[in-house]
Amino acid sequence: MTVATRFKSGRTGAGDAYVSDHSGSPHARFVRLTSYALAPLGALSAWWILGLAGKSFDGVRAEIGRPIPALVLLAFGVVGMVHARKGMDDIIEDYVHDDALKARALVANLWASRAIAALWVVAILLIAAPK
Amino acid sequence: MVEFALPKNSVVAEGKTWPKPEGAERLRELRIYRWNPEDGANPRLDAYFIDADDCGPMVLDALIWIKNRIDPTLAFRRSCREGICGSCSMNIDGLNTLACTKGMDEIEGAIKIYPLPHMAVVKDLVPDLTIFYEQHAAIEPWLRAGPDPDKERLQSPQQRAKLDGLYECILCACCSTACPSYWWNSDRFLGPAALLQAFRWVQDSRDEATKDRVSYVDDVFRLYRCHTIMNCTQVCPKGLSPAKAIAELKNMAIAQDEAQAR
Amino acid sequence: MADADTDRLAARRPLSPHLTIFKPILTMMMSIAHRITGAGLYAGMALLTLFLLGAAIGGGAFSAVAWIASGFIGNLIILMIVWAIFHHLLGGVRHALWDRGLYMDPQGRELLAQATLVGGILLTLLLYVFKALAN
Repeated sequence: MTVATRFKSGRTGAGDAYVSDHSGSPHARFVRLTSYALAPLGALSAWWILGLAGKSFDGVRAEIGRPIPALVLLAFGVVGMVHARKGMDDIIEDYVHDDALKARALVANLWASRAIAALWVVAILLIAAPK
Repeated sequence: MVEFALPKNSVVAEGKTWPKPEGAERLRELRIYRWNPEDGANPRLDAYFIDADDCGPMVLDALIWIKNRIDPTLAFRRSCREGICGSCSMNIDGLNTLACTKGMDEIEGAIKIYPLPHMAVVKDLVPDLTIFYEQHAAIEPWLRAGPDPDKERLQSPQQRAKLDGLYECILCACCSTACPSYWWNSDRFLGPAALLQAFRWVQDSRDEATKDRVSYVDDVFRLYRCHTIMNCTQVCPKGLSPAKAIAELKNMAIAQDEAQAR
Repeated sequence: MADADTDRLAARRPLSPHLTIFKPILTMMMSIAHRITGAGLYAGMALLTLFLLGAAIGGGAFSAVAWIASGFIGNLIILMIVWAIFHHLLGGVRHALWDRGLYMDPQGRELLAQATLVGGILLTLLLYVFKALAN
């Protein structure tokens, strides 16, 4: 914002800024609910993520090739990335003010988060799924 | 994109050091932000020295001492000098507060004074508060209730107690201008002061527009640019907690949203 | 006359300093750290996904991504991810308490901010100790 900034979000006015979009509440609820799941998932996942450090190819596969670490990491990756997407949306909305650029950034974030989650699932399934 | 750095015309240059008062035994140094709209130069930080034995204990006393004895061109707002008018809000020693209730003995070394952060400067320590007042107007800070009753609207002591911690706000703008989210998005984010006022009317037992008030603030910018950074509550010179009011507004907005979804 | 003059003067007004002059109080620093660890975990998950894909495919693919979790850089990346998980997790607990209006008094705010900072480092250390003991 600059010295020329005007308040656009009052009770009356032109443009969409003066209409409450009501998207903040579902967003906040979603971030809160996913965080409840992520607290235990994150703490457990940290254990196996640390277990990857310095491991050989066989060592890595042994570390997460078992059912419990594989399932926990699967859930952490998927829930984590939908939570991360919402968080990144917040960052974009805070800092990117150009409407066109913001719209593009939000779409890029959506697909980047989906791609990471999908590849994460594929990788873990390839490593851990019973043959 | 957000500009984290100051625009070219806003970069603060080194200013002049004003002569020390003669014969003073205890000196106190103040470095004060100066900007004159008429000379076309960038803002600068001037150094002043006051005679601590001849001056009152508060930062506002020092500013008035400087204006009277050293430099009559120094501009700042002040009125009540006792923390109830909210005029002399400024950034002192890195935190927004009222100059009249901030003791100089609370600060070590030179006292640095800037205008409220991330605001358009009218002159020296005087910021333009137009947007701040528009935000206050937007939450409709008056009683919204049905037709006038025959006698006064009664309120129990318990109902009245709910306004404690809210009604004391003096609209000094310390909280809003301490909030990084407000710095980046004051064109759409209401800011802590206006949101605390919104909650003050939501909490008022006589007000009948609760649903509409919550619905108005339930917006990704108006309310949810608050990320509970806590600067608002940390700086409030009246000891209020805008962060708590906002947290309760969020919970009400979420509950109202859930109820409507059903 | 006044209006044109006022507008011209208003357009020239400087923006008062903000980030650079505001006192770096702990609660604000922890809020910034929450954002940085969150964004960092986004990037960290992308890196880990690459690493796991390499481990899933094997052969040359694994040797191409092995740097993400081994050697100096790899150990640093894993350390940062583990610390970011704990720091961000405790930051989330802090927000969950504040969302409920708890620990919002001056002592409570400071306590939660300190707990986030110290707790994140402590939990990371503990995890490394336990991991070393488990091996």
